[in-house]
Amino acid sequence: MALDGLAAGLIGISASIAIGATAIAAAVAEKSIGTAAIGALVEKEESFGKGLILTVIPETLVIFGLVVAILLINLIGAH
Amino acid sequence: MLKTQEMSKVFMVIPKDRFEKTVDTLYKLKVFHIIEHTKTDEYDIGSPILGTDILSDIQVRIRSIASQLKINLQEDIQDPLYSGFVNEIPTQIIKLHNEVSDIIKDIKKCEDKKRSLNQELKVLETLDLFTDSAEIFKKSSHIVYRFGMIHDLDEDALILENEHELKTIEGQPHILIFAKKKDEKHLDEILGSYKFKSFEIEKYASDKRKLIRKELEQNLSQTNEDILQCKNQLVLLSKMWKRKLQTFNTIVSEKLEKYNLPLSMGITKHSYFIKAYVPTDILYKVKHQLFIATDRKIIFKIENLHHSDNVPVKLKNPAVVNSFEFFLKLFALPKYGEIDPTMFIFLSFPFFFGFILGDAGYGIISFLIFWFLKKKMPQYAKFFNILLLSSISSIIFGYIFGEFFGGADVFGLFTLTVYFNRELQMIALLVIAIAMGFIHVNWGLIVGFTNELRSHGLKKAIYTKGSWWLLQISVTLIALSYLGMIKAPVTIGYALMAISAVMLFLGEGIIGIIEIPGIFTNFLSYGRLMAVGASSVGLAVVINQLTSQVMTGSISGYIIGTLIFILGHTINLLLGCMGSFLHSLRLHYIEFFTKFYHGGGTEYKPFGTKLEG
Repeated sequence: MALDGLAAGLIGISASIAIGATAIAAAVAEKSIGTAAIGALVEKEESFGKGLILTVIPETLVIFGLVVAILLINLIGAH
Repeated sequence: MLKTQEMSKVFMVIPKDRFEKTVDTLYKLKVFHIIEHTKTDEYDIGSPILGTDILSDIQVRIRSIASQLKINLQEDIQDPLYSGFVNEIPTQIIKLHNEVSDIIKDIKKCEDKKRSLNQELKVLETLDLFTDSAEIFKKSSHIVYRFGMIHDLDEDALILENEHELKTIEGQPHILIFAKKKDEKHLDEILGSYKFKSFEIEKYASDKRKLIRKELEQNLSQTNEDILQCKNQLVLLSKMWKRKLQTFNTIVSEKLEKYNLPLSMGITKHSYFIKAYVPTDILYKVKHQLFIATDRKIIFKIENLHHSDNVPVKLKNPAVVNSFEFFLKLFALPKYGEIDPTMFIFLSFPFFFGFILGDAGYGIISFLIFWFLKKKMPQYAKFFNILLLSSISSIIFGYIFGEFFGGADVFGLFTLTVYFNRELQMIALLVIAIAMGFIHVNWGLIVGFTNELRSHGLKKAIYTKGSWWLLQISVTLIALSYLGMIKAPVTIGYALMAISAVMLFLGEGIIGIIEIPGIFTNFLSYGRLMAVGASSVGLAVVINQLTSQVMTGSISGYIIGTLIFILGHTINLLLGCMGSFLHSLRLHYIEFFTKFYHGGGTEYKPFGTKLEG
């Protein structure tokens, strides 16, 4: 069954929300962690590795968003 | 490789009369990682050798001189030409320090003089703006005048009993005011309330103003010359003393390190005792050398290592691979006896980096840039080695993906074969990326299993690491049963999952249960290998499209097009390299290391190698 234009459009919007919202969420989380990590780094330079790890942890959110977005976009192609 | 250097703990008793020879040998051998002795009721710590305070003073003076003469003391230089002057170091350094201090004082004096001369000239210059007449400043018993700087003067508030004259110049904070002698006190009060800064101009109120100015200018130029001369003296001293000072610094630092060694030792009435870690493979060689140096007068005993010992870690990896030790030092060194993962990072890091960047053009350019930077900054050679290998990997993946600056076309010379199109086969790329994650994470679990097996035995290894494999199998079974791809009932999958959860609880406690979904998010996290790469390709394609749209045949079009091409690809290359580096690193630190790595080892720092500059 072919999707009509409206359905395809809504799926497209959903995909963009999936990736956009997760990107914002990751950014908000990374902002706080990054600030704290820089603070720790000033005190103790050796904590760079741990600081980096903590800062990039929320990035996975965007990857989830991307996977969901790809699966959604795939729906348009599949029908 | 995979194993850190095996260490032995030694205990030495050194008679006081053999102390110097022993310390000299320990310093020369540079293999003893000293264990600090803690004071006990029975054995106190030793005191520094006599003369340490003088040497410390000399070291401070050397550093002060080096800073004034801009000499770099970081390098461990020992010029044989100056090494013979050991006994003369204190006298020579004190003499040089006094000489340099005198020159610095002279410079400061000259600079103060220069500042005051400039100020006087400035006053004169401003005064000239008001009047060049000397007549009006002639001494009078009826009239007084004030000249100086004032801010926000309200002229209406300047009400005096008698007549007065105020001269101002627009845009200047200076004023010149004449008033009757009777009003002098009142005038000063009003001006004082505006924070008036008065300049003495008595001496300029004569016909000799021009002469005074000339004298001031001559004086200023002489002062400038004096400053230059002093600075030249410093440069000359710097040239004369560079090697000598560096050599003296090396000698003094070495002596200080030796003189302070008793602080790490225990002391008895007739001897010192010390504990240290030594690499096992050279243990007997260094023991022999110590015996020769001390005529076998010391006691050298090998002690058993205990579980609670904080044994230092020395990584041993072959050349090229050891460049990747950088990542461990950045994160945390492995604990003694733990598997050293440098080799694993060597295998997977460039692979991930290349997979993400995946462009032959970018790979070639980044290779050239990193090669150039490696030559320019040899102290960071190991770091650039990592990036050079990663660039080679990018070129290989660029060849597979058929990408050269975002397209398959190589400057119109030939076209690359596209074996895998990252733009069009995104889903396939995502699946490959997650599959790579599956392999990488399980590789980490295998290493973790080996680590646990070595340190805690088979049972613990099965509970903490084997349970994760059972969990993966159970989820696969559940999925396949639901999808109808196998005929087994779905309950088998659930039963296995429950068993794995119990095993995890037994192995890692409640944390293990909480982290159950974590392993699957770990797999998904490798999706970034596709995502970051795809965004880089997307940008490159957009840059190429823009370039071809602008290049319409006109000369200006070609210029703008070339600019867009160069600028766009430069930015994309920078972003690509940074993204590839950080994301690859993250996959190692978070997804890979958490499966097996404990870290927290102490770096092996043998006595005689830490020369502070």
